[in-house]
Amino acid sequence: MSLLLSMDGALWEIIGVSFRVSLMAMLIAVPPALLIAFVLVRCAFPGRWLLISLINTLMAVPTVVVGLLLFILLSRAGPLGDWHLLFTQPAMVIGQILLALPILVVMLHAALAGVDKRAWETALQLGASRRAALWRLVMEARFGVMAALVAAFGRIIAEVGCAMMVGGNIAGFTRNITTAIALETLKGEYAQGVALGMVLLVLALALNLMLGLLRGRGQLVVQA
Amino acid sequence: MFPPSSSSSSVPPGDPSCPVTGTGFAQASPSAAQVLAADASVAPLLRVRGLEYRLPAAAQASGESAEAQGRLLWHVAALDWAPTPASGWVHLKGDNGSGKTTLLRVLAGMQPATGGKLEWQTRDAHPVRYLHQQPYLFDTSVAGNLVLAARWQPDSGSAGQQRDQVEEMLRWSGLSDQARQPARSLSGGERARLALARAWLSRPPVLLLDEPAANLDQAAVEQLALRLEQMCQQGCAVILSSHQDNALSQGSSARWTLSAASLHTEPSAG
Amino acid sequence: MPQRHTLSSRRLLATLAGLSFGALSILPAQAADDIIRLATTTSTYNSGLLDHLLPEYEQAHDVTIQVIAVGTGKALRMGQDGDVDLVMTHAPGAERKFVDAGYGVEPHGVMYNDFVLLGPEADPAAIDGMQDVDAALGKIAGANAGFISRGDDSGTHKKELDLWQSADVTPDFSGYKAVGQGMGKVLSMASELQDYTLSDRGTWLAMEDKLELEILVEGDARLFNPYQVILVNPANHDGLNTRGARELAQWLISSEGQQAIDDYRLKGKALFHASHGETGFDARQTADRASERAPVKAQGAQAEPRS
Repeated sequence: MSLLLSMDGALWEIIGVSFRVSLMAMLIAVPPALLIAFVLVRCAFPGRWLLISLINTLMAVPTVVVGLLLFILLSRAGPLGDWHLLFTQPAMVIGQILLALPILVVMLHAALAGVDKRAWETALQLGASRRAALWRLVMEARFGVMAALVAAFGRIIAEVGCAMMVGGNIAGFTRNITTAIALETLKGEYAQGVALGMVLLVLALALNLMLGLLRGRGQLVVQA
Repeated sequence: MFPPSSSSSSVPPGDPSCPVTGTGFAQASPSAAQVLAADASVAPLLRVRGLEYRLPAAAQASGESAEAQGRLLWHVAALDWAPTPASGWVHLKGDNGSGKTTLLRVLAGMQPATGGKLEWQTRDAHPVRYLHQQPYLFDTSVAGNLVLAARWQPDSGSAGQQRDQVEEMLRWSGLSDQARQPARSLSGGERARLALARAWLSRPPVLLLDEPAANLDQAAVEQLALRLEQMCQQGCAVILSSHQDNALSQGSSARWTLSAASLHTEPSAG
Repeated sequence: MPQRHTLSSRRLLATLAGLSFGALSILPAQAADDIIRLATTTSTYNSGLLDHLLPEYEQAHDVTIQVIAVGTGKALRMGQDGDVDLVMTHAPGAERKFVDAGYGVEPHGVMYNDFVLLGPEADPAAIDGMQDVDAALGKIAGANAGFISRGDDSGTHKKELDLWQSADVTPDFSGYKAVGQGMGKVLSMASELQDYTLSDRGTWLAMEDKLELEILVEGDARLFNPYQVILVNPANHDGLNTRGARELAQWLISSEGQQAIDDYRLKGKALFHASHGETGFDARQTADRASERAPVKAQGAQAEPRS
């Protein structure tokens, strides 16, 4: 722990990159994921089950594979090479969006599907716009939605394969907690790797405690 | 004594016994006058022509084209309904499975009919409120449910006006003391009152209730009837369904019966 | 080429087997006499030199050599922890500390290879063909051009830092990117970003077809890169195969081993130069001596790797 405190500037920069990139990815990924999940709940179109299985499968794709595909796309020789995004934070954000989307869609779908069908009708009956009614659905399913957000955030902030591949682990620029851990391990500096790992552990603990607290309050409401 | 206020196609639209008084009602729109050019002085609130609902066709052998359309649930040849504030509500009766809920949902615009025409002759873009058999209460406080309704109503006023509306409806439903409680902690009768207040908050011209008396005890039904009477007097046109007579049948001005896949209308004996 | 591939797969399998073996032997470690664990740098391993040297030795001496290819920092750390019997690295300063601290014994200079300064064809800092690596680095920093650094404590990284120091430049200009990755990855990053970088010649030769980079500066004696083998101190750990490791080290510096090193060719080019005759304990002195001789020797040294 003293090591953690003594690592000062560079450490906070690394943690900052992790949070900035992952929060940005969440910010961008959540609205479309919510819409897709909503459409999957509301609309029965042919092939819906196929789409859901497909998204479930995407959830299991290793992060390095996503990283590799993105690398090929963004590479100088790749179709999007002109964007000059490779080894930048935006590239990491894109990778994490791709990683977060399937898990968000699957978990948000489960959460929204758990809400009584009458909720949507009732909101529309009371004059709510579709957007307001959708927001109400999210609020009705808020514990499931929070769980989805926490799970997705946990996945992308803890992943290393994609961040390493498209971010490049450039110090002070695209080096985040996980790629820094990989580097410290490579260097044989286990102690620093463990210190950074503890940051992730503390983060996971905080997120889960928060979720537990929310859940607890939810149960109280139901019991009352 | 309730004057008959409903009219079926057998009764001419101009029947003097069902005048539109206009007080508290959304006025008939100009287009309605055109539709009923024969007598411009009276326009029904609801105009139905040839409305029908067929159940989705089950997977079956093609070739029998009549069968492929699906079974006819009900058919409404023609209906002009012009309720008055004094007339009380319409009691929609029918056996289980006769299609009462579907008819109400079609009238509320929540699901399309499979054929025919349906018109609400009112300026209100969103005139009808429908209450489920077991109304859905949002997972928030009692007051929170009303706040949502106040925020969502078509012409929502300032925050202050909305707050006044919410407080008024809390008093009206007798739930002022429970305002901060979770809505889902209420008893059955309280839930019914809250759902009614939530629907009535924006003073819609039409309210449709699906089996409101089901799952309620006698006292709760009477509480509900009291409030429905007030609403009718203030100009709300109400249709409620039930498969049997109960305390709510008493105050009805007319009885519509779904049987043998068609709707029969008659003034209430009430 | 296919042969090399099968060899490295076998080596990988051996490494995996070694790892599982290590995991199983939590009980008092009983060193198998016929297994030597060698930690070395990725650059050595990727160059193919070990696949050239070791199979012959393994057959002749009936041993299995498990090669663990990692960065110099980790290789030394594994030696310190007694996870391996022998290390072969190229970071003179770190190696001296390793021996001084008593983690390793019997260091021997084995060979050297050299580094090259690479960059894009456009060459924004205009260093192409310069003989003086210090001056070239100075121009890169002065032009604030992009430079990718290993940044991983590896031998190459340490070498690069030494070079910046001798060029009297603090590498904190905004184009400087420390990426903390292996040589291969650093080369592709430099190619992608069209930045400068420092690479060992072996990795460069292995990858040059896939890279949009060119050698801009080479042959300066300060770019020489001495390798040492060091035995892990048997006094610190039980269960080391010190006897086998010592035999391997002795063979590497024998005339037979040295000849085998000199004979190795990658794409027809010599990569490593046996150096046991020239070096003593402190390999750093080799580099210093080399730079003293630079004015005379530079031409020859430059020509040699190209031959």
